[in-house]
Amino acid sequence: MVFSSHLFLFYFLPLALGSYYALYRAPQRWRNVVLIISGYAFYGWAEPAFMFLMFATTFIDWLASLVIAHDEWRLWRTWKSPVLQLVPGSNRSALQISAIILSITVNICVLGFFKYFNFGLQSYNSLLASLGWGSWQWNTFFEVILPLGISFYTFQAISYTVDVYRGEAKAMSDPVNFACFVSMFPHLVAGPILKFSFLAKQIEGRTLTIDKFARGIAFFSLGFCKKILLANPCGKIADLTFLTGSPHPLDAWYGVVAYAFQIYFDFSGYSDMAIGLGLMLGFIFTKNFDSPYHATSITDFWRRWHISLSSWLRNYLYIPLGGNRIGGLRTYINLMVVMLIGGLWHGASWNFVIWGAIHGCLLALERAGGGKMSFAWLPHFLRVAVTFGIVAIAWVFFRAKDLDSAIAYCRSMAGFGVPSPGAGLIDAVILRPYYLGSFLIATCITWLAPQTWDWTRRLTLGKAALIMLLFWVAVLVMTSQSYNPFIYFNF
Amino acid sequence: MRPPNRILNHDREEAAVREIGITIFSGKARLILLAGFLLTITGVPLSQSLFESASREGDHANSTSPEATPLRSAHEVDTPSPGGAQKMNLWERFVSLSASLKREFKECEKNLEDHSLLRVHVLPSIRTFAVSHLGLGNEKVYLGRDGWLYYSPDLDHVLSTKAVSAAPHLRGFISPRQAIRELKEELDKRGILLLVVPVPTKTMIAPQGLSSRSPMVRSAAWNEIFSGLASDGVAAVNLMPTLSQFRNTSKGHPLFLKTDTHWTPETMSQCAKAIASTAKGLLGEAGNSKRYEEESSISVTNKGDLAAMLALPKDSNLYPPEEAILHPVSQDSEPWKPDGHAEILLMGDSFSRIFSAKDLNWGANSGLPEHLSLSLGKPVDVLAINSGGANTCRRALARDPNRLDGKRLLIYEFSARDLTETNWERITLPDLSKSPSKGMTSDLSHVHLISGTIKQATKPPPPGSSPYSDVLISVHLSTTSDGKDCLVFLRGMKGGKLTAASQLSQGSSLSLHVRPWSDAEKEYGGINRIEPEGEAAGLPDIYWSDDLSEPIVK
Repeated sequence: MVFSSHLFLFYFLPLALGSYYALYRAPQRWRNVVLIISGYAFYGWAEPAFMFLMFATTFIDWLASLVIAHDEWRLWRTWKSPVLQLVPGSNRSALQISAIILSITVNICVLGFFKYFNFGLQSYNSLLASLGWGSWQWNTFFEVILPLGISFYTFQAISYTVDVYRGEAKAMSDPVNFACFVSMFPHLVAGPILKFSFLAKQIEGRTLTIDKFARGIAFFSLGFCKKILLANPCGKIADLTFLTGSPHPLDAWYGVVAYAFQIYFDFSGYSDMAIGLGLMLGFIFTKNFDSPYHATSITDFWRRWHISLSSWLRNYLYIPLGGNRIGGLRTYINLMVVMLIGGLWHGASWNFVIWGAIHGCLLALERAGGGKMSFAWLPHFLRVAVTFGIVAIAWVFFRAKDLDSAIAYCRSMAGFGVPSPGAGLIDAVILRPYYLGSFLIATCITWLAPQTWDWTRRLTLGKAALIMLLFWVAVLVMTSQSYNPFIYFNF
Repeated sequence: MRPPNRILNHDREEAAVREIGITIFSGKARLILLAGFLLTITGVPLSQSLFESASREGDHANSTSPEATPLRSAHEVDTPSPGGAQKMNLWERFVSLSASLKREFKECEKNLEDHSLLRVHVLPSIRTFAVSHLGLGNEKVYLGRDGWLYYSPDLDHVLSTKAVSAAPHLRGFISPRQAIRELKEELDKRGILLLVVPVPTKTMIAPQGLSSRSPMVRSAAWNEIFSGLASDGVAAVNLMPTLSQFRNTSKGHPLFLKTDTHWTPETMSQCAKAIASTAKGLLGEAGNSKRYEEESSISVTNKGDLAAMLALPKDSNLYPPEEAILHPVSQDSEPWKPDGHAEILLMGDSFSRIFSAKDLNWGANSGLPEHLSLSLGKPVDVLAINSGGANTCRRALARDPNRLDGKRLLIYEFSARDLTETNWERITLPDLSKSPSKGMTSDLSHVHLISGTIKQATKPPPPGSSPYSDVLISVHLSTTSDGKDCLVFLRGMKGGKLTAASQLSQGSSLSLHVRPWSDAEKEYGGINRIEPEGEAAGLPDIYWSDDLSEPIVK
C-alpha cells in the first residue's frame, strides 16, 4: 500500500488510527497488537504471500535474540526467567556466536535470494554468452519477485540481534512487542531504518499527546505534498529525458536535475510521512534527511542524505570492518566496501555498483585530503553547486536502465552524444508550464526553504492554514494521477 | 558512509526526542491541523458511503448491475475446478491463493479510486484547469501546440531504444520480428503471400505540435524492423517515403487528425495506393477484378479519441470536434462490403477500421479496405480489431484459419507503436493437416443459458486511458452442466463507461445468455477486446453474451 493513495489516506489510515485510539486507555500491549495487525494488512495488501516471509524472519530473529540473551537454546527452560541485557565487551559463548551468525545468515540469505537471484542469473548467462558457452546458460523462465521493503526490515531486524549480542539492548521477551518493532507500518517498507534500542523503549512505553499528533499531521501533510506536487512531476521530466536515451545536452541536464529533485522529494517526502505517522501513533523517529543538496562536499552529503541507512552501515559494517582505526589505506578500503555494499543494497545492477563506487572513491579522496575536496577553496555557494553537480552525475547511473544507457546519457550531458531520433519532441512536454513550474518550485524549496523539522518546530496559525491548503491541493492532484509508488519501494 | 563517530546515533535520537518536545503551537494552529486533517480523511469516505447508500436506494428497484466488487474470503477467491484441485499440491495452492488475493486487492483498490466522489465529480474541473492553464494533459495524452494532441505511448515508441529482434523475458512472448517471421512460415505452408505494413505513429508523421524543428521522425524500431524483415525475406511496405512526399505536396494540410490517434482520410488514401502498388507487384494482374468507384466526398465531424481521453466536462470547448472529408467507395452503386471470397485479406487494427467501421464514429465505407479495393480493383476481406494489431487479430486468425481459404495475399497492418510498446505473443496457426477443433459452439447456434464459475475475467482499461470508448472483455467460464471450459466475450466498456460485466471477478458464479461468437463476430469482432492469457486463449468454445452490458450508473 502506498501512503499517497486513495486507499491509504481515506480508508486504511482512518481505520488504523480509529482502532488504535479506541484503545487509548488500554494497556500499551493492546495497541501494539493493533499496530501488528495494521502492519501485516498494510504489507500483505501488496503481496499477501510475503506476510509469511516477514513472519518467519521475525520469529527466527526473536528466537535467536532470546538464545543470545539467555545463552541457552532450550528456551522452554528459561521461559519465565527475566531477560537481562548482556554486558558490552564481555566474552560471548559459542552458542551465542552461533545464534547471531544464524540470525544474520538467515536475514542476508533471504535478502540475497530475493534481491540478487535475477541479477546473478543474468550476469552468469551474460558471462557464458561472452565466453561462447551459451549452451551452459540457465534459462529459468521465472523471475524472483522482490518482497516490498525487504531491504529495510531485514536491516532493521539485523540491528536488533546485533544490538542484543553487543549488549547495547535488552532482548524482547514479548513476541508481540518484537513483531510490533518489525511490522510497524509507518516505517515498514521504506524506513527510516531505526536502531532497535531507540525504538524498544517507545514500544514498551510511549505517550500519546495532541501536540505530537498535530505535529505529525504537519509532517505527514508536507511529505504528502512533496511527493504529489514535486516528486511526481519532476519524475515525469526525468522519465522522458532518460527514455530518450541520448537527449539534447540541455535536456539531459534538465532531466538529471529533475531526477535529483524527484528522488529527494520522493524519499524525503516518504520519510516525512513516516515520521508524521509515527508521531500520530506516539512514536518519535529520527531525522532521515537534512537538506542534502546544501552539502559542500560528498562527506557532507552523506551526513545529510538517507541518514538512517548511512548510520546503519557505519554502525554495523564500517566500524566492525575496522573503520578508520587501522590506518589510512584500510580506511579507504573500508569506505569503498561500505559504499559498494550501500550501492548494491539499492538494487541488483552494475549501475548501482558504479554509483556506490563513485561515492566511495570521492569519500576516500576527501578523507585523503583531510576531509576536504579539491574545490574547498571556492565560495560556499559554488561548493554547494559543484557538490550537487557531482551528486547529479552519479544519479545518472542510479536512474539509467543499464550501463550503456548511463554512458550514452553522460555523453549527452557532456555534449558528445548524437541526439536520438525523437529527442526534439520531448521539449513540448517537459517545458510545459506545469512541469517547468514544478521544477522551479522544487529548485526554490531545495535551496531556499528550511527543512521540515525546522519549519514545523513553531507552528503558527498561518503555517497551519498553509499546510492544510497545500494538503487539499495535493489530495485533488492525487485524484488525477495514476498509481505512482515511491522510488524506494523498489529497493 | 559518514566519518565515524562524528555524530553518534544517540545524539540523533536525543535530538529527535528533544525536537518533538519543544514544538510550539500558536493560536489555533493545533486545532486547524487536527480538524482539517481528520475531517478530510474521514469526511471523504463517509460522504462516499452516504452517497452510495442514497444512490443504491434510488437504483434498487430497477438495477440489474452487480454491486462494486466486494472483497471475498480467501477460500471463495480461489476455487479451483474439481479436477484442478487434485492436481495442485499445497505449495501451488498457496501460490495460487496468494495471487488471487493480490488480484482481488488490486481490483478493490481500483474500484475505490475509480468510483470515488473526488474522481467522478472533481476530476473534470481539475482537468479543465490543468489543460487550459498548466498545459498538462493526463497519463495518456500530451498536449501539443496549436490544438494538437498526442498519445503518450506514441511518443514513448519514438523515444524507445528497445530492439525489435530481442525477445522479452516473458514466457510465451517473442520479439515482433520473430512473430512476423513465424506468421510468414505458416502462410508459406498454405501458399499465401505476406505483406507487412507498419503504420507510422502520429509522433513520427505529424510531430509539428511537439516540435517545429522535426518534419518527420523515424523511430529506432522503424529502421530496424525493415532491415530485419528484408533479411527474413518478408515483403513490407515502408510508408515513410510516401508520406514524406505527400507532406510536401499537401500544402500544409495535416497528415493526422489533430485530436485523434489516427491519420486523415487523405493520408490513408495515399497509403492505400502505396500498399496496393506493392500488392499488385506481388500478386500480378491475375485474379478476379471488380470495378470500384469513388463517390462524391462527404464531411464527417467527430470528437477525436485523444480529446475524449482528456475527460473534460461535456460542455468544454477546449478541443472541439474535428471535421474530416471522406471519399466513400462503392461497387455497382452499392456501398463497399468486405468479401469473404476475396483473394486478399487485410488484417490489422483501428487504422484498418477508421472511416470504414461505424462504431468509431468517423463515417463508413471510406477507410483503408475500401481504398485498397479501389486502388487494386479487387475485392478485399477484412479482419481488423481495434488495438489488436500485434496479438488479437493473429489470435482471431488462429481461431478461424478458414478465413485463409482461397486467399493469395495477407496484408498485415499494425501500428508502429506495437513494435516497442506491446508484448508479442507466440501464436501459431493450426496445422494444415488438422481441421480446427470444434467445440460445443458448433452444435448450439441459438441463444441459450449457460452457468458456471469464473476462472478468469479480463478487465477493461480505466475509462479515459484507452483511445476506444467500447471495449470487450472475456470471461473464462467453467460450466456447471458438463464441467467444460468456455470463453465468453462481453461488453466491458460502452460509450466510455464501464459496464456491469467489468465488475465480474474470479471465483464468482455466473449465468449468461450466450450465442456462438461466430454469429456475433461480424457485429462486435472489430471492437478492442481484452483476451485472456494462457490456456484460456486457446479454448475452442467461444460465445458472445449481451448480458451485463449496461453502463454502471454512478
